[in-house]
Amino acid sequence: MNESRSSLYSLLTGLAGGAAAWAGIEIILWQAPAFPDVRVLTLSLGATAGLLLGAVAPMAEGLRQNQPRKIISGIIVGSLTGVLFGALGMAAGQLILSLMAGTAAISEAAFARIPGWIILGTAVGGASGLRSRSLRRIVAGATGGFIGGLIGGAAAELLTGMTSGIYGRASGMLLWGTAVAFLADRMESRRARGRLTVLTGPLKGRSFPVNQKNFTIARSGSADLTLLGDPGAAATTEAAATGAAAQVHLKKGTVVLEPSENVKVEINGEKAEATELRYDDVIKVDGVTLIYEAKR
Amino acid sequence: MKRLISFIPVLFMLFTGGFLGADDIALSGVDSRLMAVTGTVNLYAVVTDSSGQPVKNLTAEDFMVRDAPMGEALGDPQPVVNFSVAGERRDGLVFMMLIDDSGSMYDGPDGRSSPSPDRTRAALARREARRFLDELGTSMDRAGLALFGTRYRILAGPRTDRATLIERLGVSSPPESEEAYTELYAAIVEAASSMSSQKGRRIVILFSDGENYPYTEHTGRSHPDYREKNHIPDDALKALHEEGVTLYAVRFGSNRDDDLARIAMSTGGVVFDVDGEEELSGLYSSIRKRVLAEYRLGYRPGPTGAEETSVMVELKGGQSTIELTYPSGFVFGLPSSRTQALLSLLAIPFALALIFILARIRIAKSADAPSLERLRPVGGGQLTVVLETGKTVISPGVAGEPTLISSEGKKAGDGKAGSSSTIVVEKGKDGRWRASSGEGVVVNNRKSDATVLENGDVIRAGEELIVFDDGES
Repeated sequence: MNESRSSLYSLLTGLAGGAAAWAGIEIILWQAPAFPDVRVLTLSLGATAGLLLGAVAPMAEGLRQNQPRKIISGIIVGSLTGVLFGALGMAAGQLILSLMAGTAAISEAAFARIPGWIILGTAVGGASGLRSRSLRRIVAGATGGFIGGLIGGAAAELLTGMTSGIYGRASGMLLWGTAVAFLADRMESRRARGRLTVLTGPLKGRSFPVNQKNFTIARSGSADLTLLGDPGAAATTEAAATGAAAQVHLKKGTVVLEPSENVKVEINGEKAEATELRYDDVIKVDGVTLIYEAKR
Repeated sequence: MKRLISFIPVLFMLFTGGFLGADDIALSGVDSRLMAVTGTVNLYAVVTDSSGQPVKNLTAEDFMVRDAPMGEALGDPQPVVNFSVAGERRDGLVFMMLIDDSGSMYDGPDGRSSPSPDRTRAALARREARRFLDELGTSMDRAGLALFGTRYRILAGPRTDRATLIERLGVSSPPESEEAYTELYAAIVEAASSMSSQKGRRIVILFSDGENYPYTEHTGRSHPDYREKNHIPDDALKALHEEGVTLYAVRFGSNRDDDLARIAMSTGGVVFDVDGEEELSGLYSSIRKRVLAEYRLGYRPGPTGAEETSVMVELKGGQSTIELTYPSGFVFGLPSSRTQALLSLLAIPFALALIFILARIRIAKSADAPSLERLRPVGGGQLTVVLETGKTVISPGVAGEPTLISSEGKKAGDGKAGSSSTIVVEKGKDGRWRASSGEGVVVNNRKSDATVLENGDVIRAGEELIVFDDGES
């Protein structure tokens, strides 16, 4: 799968997440007077936006790999991190709005809202990396979320000024969700040292950026790259079926593939042990062929 | 941020030569900066008795707060949840003394020219400023100092170091004619902006003996700092509002700027009209006392979501009130109506539909028959070619041209099919597919004359990679 087709997943899950978040936000804003004070409302708005975008956007990874288990884990982890960071991000955004609105003319107050969108976007974007417990992915996701939040927030404010509130907010939330998910994904991809593209089996054509310190290749649905398809006569072992078939580590500027014990892994047709990957290396692991494309 | 936006002037005290006013409560500021964190908005109010003297010893129970989205009727009384007196606060006050240094300030108090240097209005203003600095003593209050005429000159930013301030007050001397104009509103803008980094309750004390008399308007020339910009009263008001600064103004003599009173009162401040030295004496200190007598009243507003909320404080017993507004909007904007909220629910099936579509997408499908697929195609050409019984020829592209894959016998581009760089793929008698080339073929980065292909093997053809799919796996 080339990158543009791969991005389709993050684009559409972001759009879906933005749409869901918009619905949640509208319901809460409808019930705003019922909230005891601004703090509770602020936290609720942030938690809801974070929950819904956080739950839906990370589904992209599981959907790309056609892995229900990964979809579910994406929803669970994304929801939890989204709630937490969405609430915190929103509180920070609201605080900045209060500070800026107090120092900005009314006509400029709309722009005082944009930091709120940015912080929320950064929080949700970074949360996608939190799932993998990878600092690189957190930073990349947060950077993408920051840019997405800026774009979405600016669009929301611009459109709100041009149309009635609900259309501006709706289009802003859709654009915000799309931009945050897409750009977080793109940033993760840009910061990757390289990518592994599957050449055989059901996942043929799909690419996986190697963007975290430890990248797991396994038959397990929780792996970073889940091996699908019949392993055939390849050395499928108990270890390969239940644990990691191989790990890819980022070590001091190099990318090293380390096969698990008792798992046959070939690189360019030769049995591999811990090996530094080079451009266009062809890897066969547990019956599935991958090609490694280093970032040039 | 203290925002002082709307005001009911009839209720406010206007001073002529001192505090004159009725027993009253006056809101002088609103601070909603930390509403998102604390949930409260702080209001600053001064209560004065019938003689205009601040009323002390009031308690939170003596006050009630009402608020509503701006433009709507005020709601029910709300309790004060935080209460303190400014004089008891530890963060101190921040003053900026802004002194007119235009040409007329070097006249005598009565407006006559050529008085002795220590009898000019400028000298009186400095004397009062020095007295004020002396009275600040060792308090935590910070004071700054700026002069203005044609241009704005900051002598010292707000600080607790009184000696430096007194030193910088220095001795005044009449300005050159080019510096003798009165950029009154521009100076207020500058003074307010210069306090933006200061924390705490911020006050500008302005001393001026005349009206706004801008340079560009009266000379027809470009101002050295403001170019063609002609500051108007609303510029000054906007800057004070933006920074949450209260303006107290001293209008000395008979030539008074009419808009100054409106500006000062709209920020919760007061204008003093002073004709002589005696009236001026101790005036700055009385301003400080007034600010120190402010009550800080914290209340917890409901989340209306309105862009701005109007708020009013009452003393129990029904005294008169002043209404101010503060920003209260949400990051996500105005609250929804029921219709909007229900309409937004349509987004849920939309989101589910998108996810369903994604779940059904199959990006790439393994071929049903053996095939060759160009992995990173350069230029155009066919991407996937099904292998036929006979030979299939791969002709690597050169100089950015696409690699061509075709069955033997068909033209494979520029007659290169038979060249030594072409790669031939064919099925052997054992049923296995082989790749070979006269120059040797590189499969999975290993070069050989001929290689038996397995599913997923990668053949290098010039700049391109060709993936073999056995059509079975």
